[in-house]
Amino acid sequence: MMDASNTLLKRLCAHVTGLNDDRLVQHFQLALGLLNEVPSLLPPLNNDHNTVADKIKRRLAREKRLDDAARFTALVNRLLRSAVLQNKTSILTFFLALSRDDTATRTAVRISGTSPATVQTPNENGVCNSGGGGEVFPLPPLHRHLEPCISSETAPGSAAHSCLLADPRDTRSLPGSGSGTRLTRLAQMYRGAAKKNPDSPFAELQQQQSTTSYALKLPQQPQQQQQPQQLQPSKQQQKQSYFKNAVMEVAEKVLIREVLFIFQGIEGSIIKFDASKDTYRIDNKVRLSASQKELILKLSDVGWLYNKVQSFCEWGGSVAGSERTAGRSTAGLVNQSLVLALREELTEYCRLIALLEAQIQEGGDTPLCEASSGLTLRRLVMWTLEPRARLLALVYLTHAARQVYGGACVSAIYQHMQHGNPGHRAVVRHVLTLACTPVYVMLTQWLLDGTLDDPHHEFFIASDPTVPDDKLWQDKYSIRWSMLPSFINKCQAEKVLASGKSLNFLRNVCHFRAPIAGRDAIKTALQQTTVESLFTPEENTQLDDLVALTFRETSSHVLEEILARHKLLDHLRALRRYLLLGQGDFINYLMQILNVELCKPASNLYPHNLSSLLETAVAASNAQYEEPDILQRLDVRLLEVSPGDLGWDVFSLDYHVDGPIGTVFTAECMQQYLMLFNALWKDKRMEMILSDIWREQAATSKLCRELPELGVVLHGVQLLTTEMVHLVHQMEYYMTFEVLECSWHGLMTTLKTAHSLDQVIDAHKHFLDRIIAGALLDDQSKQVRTHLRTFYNLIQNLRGLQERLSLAVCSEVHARRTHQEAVKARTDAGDFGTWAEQEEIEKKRRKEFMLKVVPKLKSDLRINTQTYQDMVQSFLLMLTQHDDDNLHLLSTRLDFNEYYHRRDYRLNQRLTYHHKRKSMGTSFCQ
Amino acid sequence: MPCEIITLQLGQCGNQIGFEFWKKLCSEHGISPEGTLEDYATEGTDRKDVFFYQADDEHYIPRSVLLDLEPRVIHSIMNSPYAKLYNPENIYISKQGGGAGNNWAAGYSQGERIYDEVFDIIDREADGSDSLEGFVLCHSIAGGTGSGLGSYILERLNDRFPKKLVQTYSVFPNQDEISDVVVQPYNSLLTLRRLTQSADCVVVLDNTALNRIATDRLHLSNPSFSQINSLVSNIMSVSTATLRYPSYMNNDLIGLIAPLIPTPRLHFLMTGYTPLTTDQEVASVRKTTVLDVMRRLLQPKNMMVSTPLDRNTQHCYISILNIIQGEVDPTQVHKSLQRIRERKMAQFIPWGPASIQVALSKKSPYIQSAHRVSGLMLANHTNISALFERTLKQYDKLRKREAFLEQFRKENMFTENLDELDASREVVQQLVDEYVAATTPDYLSWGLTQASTES
Repeated sequence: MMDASNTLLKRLCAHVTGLNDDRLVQHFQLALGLLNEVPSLLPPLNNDHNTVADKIKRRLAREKRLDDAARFTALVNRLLRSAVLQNKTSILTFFLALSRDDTATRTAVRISGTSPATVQTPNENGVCNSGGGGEVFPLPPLHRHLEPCISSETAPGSAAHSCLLADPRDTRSLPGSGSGTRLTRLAQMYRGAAKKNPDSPFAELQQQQSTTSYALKLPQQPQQQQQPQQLQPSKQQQKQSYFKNAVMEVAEKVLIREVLFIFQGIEGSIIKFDASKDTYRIDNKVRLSASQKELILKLSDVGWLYNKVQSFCEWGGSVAGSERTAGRSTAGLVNQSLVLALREELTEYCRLIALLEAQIQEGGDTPLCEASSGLTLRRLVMWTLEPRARLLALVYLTHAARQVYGGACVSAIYQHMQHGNPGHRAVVRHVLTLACTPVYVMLTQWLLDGTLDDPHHEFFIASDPTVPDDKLWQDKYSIRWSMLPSFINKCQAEKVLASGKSLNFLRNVCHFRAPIAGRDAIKTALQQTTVESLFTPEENTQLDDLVALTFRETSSHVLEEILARHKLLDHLRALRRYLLLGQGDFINYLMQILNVELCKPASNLYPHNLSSLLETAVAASNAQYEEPDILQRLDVRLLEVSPGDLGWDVFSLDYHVDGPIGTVFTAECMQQYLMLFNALWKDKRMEMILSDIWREQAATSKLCRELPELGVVLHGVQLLTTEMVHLVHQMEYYMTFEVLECSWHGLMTTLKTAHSLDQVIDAHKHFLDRIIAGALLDDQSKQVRTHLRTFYNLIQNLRGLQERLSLAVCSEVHARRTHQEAVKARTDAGDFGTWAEQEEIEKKRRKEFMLKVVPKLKSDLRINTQTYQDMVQSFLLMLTQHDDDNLHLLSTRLDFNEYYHRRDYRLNQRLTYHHKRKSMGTSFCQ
Repeated sequence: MPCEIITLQLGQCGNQIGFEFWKKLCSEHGISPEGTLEDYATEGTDRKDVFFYQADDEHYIPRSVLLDLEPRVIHSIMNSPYAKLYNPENIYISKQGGGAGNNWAAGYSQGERIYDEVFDIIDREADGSDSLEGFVLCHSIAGGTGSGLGSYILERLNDRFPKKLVQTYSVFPNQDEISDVVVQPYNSLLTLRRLTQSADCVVVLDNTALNRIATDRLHLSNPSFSQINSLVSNIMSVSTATLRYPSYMNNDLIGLIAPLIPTPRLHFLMTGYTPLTTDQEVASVRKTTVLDVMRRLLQPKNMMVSTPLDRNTQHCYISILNIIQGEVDPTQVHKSLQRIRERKMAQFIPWGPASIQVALSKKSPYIQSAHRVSGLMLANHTNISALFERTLKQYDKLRKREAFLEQFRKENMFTENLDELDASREVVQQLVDEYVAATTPDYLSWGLTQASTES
């Protein structure tokens, strides 16, 4: 039967074309192909033979073959009259199809051959890609491909195939399957062969083989290779229709409409949304071919994606169980902008859907003439390829941005800028541009005016309104690291922070009203930047330039303000002069005139008395030439009084700092200054006491010429004093040169090169820390400092000793002089100068002096000397073992001529193994 | 004003170096010879109150008392442009006008006679200051007025102001040339006793060394008095620089002196100065560092005291203070000290801690000098005893021959006996002994041995 029809077809071809066998093959094959696919060209509506005939005529007319058209009309009339031929319309349709260009057919064939692959590729690739790059791009729970469902519904043997349906033209054939056209019958005949033993795999195999052998007759056409498979789905369908009666056939048109609904997130009647599995499902009652199912599910992905994006838009980013239950209004500007961007994309997408819809409306009118513009499921897949990718990208973005807001949201989106797919990147870029806009606006305002308009805390600069102005620089503004967009690096962020902070500082602390110097430059620079330049640092350096420029301009302005208008250097110098005792004449005199007051108990002190003394000291020293502003800041301060304190223990100078310079001289800094003052003041006082002792000794030693018995004691006291003077002076020299001068030098060098206030503050802090460490006031030196305090007590003891000594000397000298004068007076009067009794008294007194006073003084001296020398030895030992190298300098100074080294072997250990190991140990630790 | 210092200028030499000193101070502080402040002197960093006070019309007057027994030098001062600088009430010329005739005894006894008038002036000056720190005495020990009157005033200052410091700038005679003052050894010895016992600090200006420096280093073939005196005034001004330009340390006289003088008698200080070049010779090969200055100061050729090398005794420094002026890097101080210590450039006493103190002082902004950096060393060195030994030797030579004693016997002090001379010799000998003792560790127990020998 097949042979017969083939022969007939061949003959028909030969008849129509008038060609011989060899050249006929091509035409035959074309005809055969057409016969097989004719149903697709034949929508049920076009059953009217007149319409088909008209089309052919119109076509001939278009080709200017008017004669042929006339002949065709005659032939049609004959055909219609014929009683033999039954399927007249089909025949006509066949001819219409034959009349189509060969090339057109081939193209169609080629498309049908490749399209399955192309349809498949983006789909699978997209998913795989995102799955593979899971770490970089967090994979949203995308629509699961319904492979298992398909395989469960289709027989294992046939599940693999159905590529026939991949041919777009073919999809339309389904509705026509029920009509009794010849071709359908032909197809049914083919199917009948396989139907004989449908359940036997062998029979199926045979069937396959038979169809293959049939196909082998036409091996040259790639399209034909698919023919065996082509038949199977129909067979499958047939099979299903035979064995299951609950079949509900659905027209493709309906399916397309459904799909279009789905595209817009609306559930259809066939394709339902399964909320529990978060997927689309095809109604179980509807029987579709596996390939159709696959296509539909693939297409439903688009709808699913659309839904995701749409719901994100609804919720403004704070979806999926975020504890921030608030809706769009509080989601922040960035998220709002993101939603805006997404909506724009969706609108674009909806426009496409609308176009598709329109096509489906009109597509029916011209299915035959413009077949390529008709909609099929497969075409839909094609059409939605690009929007699907866009939607996928958007879903990735929404997924990334789902629980974050503000800068973090921008960062999350920015991650996707690193995506390898340029299409994806383009989408991200567009969305990011919009989402960044609020950040950009905030950044602009911040850089230009220092204002923060950030109701949702999205910007990466945070401001604490509770911080008062005097701590503005340190505490008011901070970087909200979580909100820092990842395209702005840490360094830039800090510069941005400093820039705006500088502006605020100028406005609020310095009360600087005029526009700052570089504002115009910054404004120009800002105008040149775009939102996109924010996150494309590799393409342009605008952001970097802008940040650098703003930072430079504002910082230099702040610095100038602080240095020039608020005279930071003058204040530094003043602090050095007064709190660090640099103004020696003033300090000396102050100490001198305070002596009386400060020897009183601390509770008896009156600050106003001290203040007036301070004024006296200022007026009497070179401090009087100081700027009045600085002198006004200088004040007396009494520290906390604890019981038993003398005035000396609680007295302190103070320096008032406020306004802009208070930013550099913070409360902590001033605390450090006071601490330093206290220590230095104490050292200075020791020097003064020792000077007094020295002066006393000079006087005493002159008297002592008359008392050689006391020579030893005096000599001892003098030597002890010398040792102490040496220590105190060397401590002071050390403080001057190694500590104060060096640190000051460092500070001045840094200040000269400083570019920002922060650098100045840091330099000043470093300066203070260095001095504190050098003055043994830091934590590491507590022990040493305590030790040094005992030294002060020793000096006080020495003063006591010296006072007793000079008292003894004075009274003894006085007694002897009186005695001598009495003798002399009597001698002058002509009497005996002396007599035994008086001589006895004198001798006894002298003996008493020698036995009582002198030994007491001697033992006092011995104790004092011993304690002192022990103290110095252990002090030096502590210094040499101290980790701080600078303190080794002090020990060198204190023992310059190695006097103590010779006395104590332990001090020689400096370069021994133990010491070396220790120093090496510390260096290794670092 | 706190820490004032009153300067007493005695005799020909004292008045001459005093005159140079004030000249120098005036130029450093920008004070004109009339005592008014120059227009350019606007910098307020210097402290003028220590040595000057201001009169009602704001002009500056030196806290200075000029004393002489003969009018020549003071008259020449009064004829100089600086005549109006001084307070005329502070100038005292003995009415006799005959001078002391280079005789210590004459000077001393005249002092007794003019005591009231002189101390009227001194008391008035002392009362005029808020907290007087002390006196500075300029004199020579060889002549009559400076030595005799100076000795007398030293003793009386001690009585009247027992708690005030007395520092002297004492010019020791040139030993290289034969002096026209034949009794110079007597004068020196007697003055030395007072310097030992009544002064707190003596800055020794050795004419021998000064002349040698002038000829050898400054290449002056025949140095004049004023050239030598300008050297001296330079030393005086630098040694007071830290008082006049206050900074963290060394702002009062006691602060300068106390660390230099361990025991009251060892108070004779040598000085050294660098650069010692004439102004025409600009020797700036490279930047002068702190170390350069300190190293040069330790060289004997820069010392203002000529002391022969004594190989028998290990002479050593008791203390050193370097006052460095000019632009130096303060951070270099420690490194320089370390270097000096490592190379053992200076030998120190073995009986107590000692070190080189460094004071950085401002330089006057009003004086242009060819040298960016200059340094002065005040050193307490045991070798100074050689100078006293030399005096003792010369004295002994004269004394053995009983030469030139007639003039002395004319004065009350020596009419009965010459005990004063012997006592003075004893004191100076003890001083030499103490200095020698200070070279050994035994100095710690020196008082003990001393006491035992005496008792």
